[in-house]
Amino acid sequence: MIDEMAVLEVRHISKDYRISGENSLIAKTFHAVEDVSLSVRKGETFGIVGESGCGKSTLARLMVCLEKPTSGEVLFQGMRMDTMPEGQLRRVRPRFQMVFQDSGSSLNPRKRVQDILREPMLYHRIGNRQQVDRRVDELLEMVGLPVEMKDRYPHAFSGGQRQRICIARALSLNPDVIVLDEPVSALDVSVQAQILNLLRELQEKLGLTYVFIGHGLGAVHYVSHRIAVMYLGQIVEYGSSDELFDHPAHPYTKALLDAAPVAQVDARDRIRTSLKGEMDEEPPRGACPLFNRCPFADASCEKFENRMREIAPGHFTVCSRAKEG
Amino acid sequence: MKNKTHFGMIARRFLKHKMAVVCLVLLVILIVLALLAPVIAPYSPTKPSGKFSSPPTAEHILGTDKIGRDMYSRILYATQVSLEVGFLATLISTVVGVVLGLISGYFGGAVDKAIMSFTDMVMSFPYILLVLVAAAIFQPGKWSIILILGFVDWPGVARLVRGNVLSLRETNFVKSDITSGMPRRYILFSEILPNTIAPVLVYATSVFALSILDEAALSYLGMGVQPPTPSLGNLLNGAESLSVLTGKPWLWVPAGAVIILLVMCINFVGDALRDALDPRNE
Repeated sequence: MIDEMAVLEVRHISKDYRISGENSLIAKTFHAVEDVSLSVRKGETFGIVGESGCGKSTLARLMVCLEKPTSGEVLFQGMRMDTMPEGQLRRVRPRFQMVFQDSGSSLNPRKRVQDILREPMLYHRIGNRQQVDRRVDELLEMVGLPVEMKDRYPHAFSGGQRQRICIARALSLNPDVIVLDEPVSALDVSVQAQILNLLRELQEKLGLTYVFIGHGLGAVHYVSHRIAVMYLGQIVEYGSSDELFDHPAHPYTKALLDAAPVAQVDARDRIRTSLKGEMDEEPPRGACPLFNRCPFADASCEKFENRMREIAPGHFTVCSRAKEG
Repeated sequence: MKNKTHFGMIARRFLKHKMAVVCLVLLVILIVLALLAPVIAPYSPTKPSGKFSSPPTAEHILGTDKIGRDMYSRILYATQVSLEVGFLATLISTVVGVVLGLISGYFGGAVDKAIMSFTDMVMSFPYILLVLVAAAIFQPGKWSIILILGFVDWPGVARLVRGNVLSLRETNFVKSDITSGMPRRYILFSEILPNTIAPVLVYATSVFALSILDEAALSYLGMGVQPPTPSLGNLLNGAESLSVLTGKPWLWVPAGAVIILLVMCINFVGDALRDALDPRNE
């Protein structure tokens, strides 16, 4: 997956966590992310979906270098980020920002909104005091918050407003890429739509690139140009948003789509793909990770190769039984 | 509530606790009286100025002790000494505890292990014994008791700060600082430290109250502040015998009352501070 237009790229990236037992004699390794490669193109929104615990948040933290990968590479505009020395990395960091799910803990409760926004800009010398103060007002306006609210503390805001402040902070350093880790999952449905629209507006206005992580398929479909589906730390399928929704190829994607409720009466009787069992069931050695749970699995699935296959232009999956065309 | 300053909000929440406000006023009065002891004390606290063991009279409103010193003057000075011991011991233990707790929590690893083992070791020292040993080696007196109390009280602060730092380090606002490329000193001193000040301040009030009690206990045993310098503890020391306890209450009741009042007021103020400093209590 070498891509000329890539801004943010990960290559064969893995992250293992050691889980040590109480007496730490038996140390187990948990593969949170396993051999994931993807590239995010300039100006697009790249969605990543999967159920909780599939490793999508770990992938997000790896992409913004909050964690070091166990193996693999993280590249930002062709620069190797995972091996960059701390001092140099600090100067590049403003160009890729992150917005977290829990906006409550994303803002220091003891600082006014204007200080939260101002301090990183002053440190990175975005401008002098007056310029930065003016930019605080601009940013608040841009995310749709009244400028008079800038000298309030975070607890005086609602969840949706706090998420707007987080977006303003992410924008303040003029980033190229923003990684959004479930930015709307904790919000009311009506507020979700407002935030998603705001994100789309900002993307058009500022030419931003997003990595949008979520488990709500509707939201991800709504904002993303391309989507990758993750299962047990691996990407099982990716392709353009509409293609993936109209012609899901991997049984896991199908199940994920069919599990989402549809607001249409005649859709109730549709044929659903559903999985058996639970995610933590371990598949046999060498088999497809979904082997135990897949309704279509047969003997050929016992030998699994983690390799992407292009089944339609720009549409890839690891499932060997997915039909082409 | 628009445009309220942070301090204004804290003050308003504090004022809701009626009992704490009363206690704060009493505490301020006691502190002012103690500080003004050289001005308002009618007699010297260390030189005899009247009859031996005289009950309260017009000249000596709280009576005199067994060698004729004015009890009122002695209590004023004693309160000053006890407050000084309590305050300085609290200051030392808080500074040491905050510094070690910050280092331990933020850097983790081997540094954390070393500091925490040392903390546990100090915590398991029986402090009376420590004081006895220290008193045997050094001169017992005001400064040695300040240093000793400062030394035995910091582990609580260190653990409190470390725990706070550990949880603050995982918050999204610290993660946001990292992704914004903010330097470590900003994260430590501008984000983490201000969020640990409130619990430390609350904890410090209880250390302050405990230090006053400890000073009283140690001076009562003769291991603390040494006569003729008066302290609330060694004033009580003069009331050891049964005849004093039953027959000359002016020698010990006022000193005991001042200790109780100080400790109670500090604790009430600390409780109210805990509520007032929490920004979520809006």
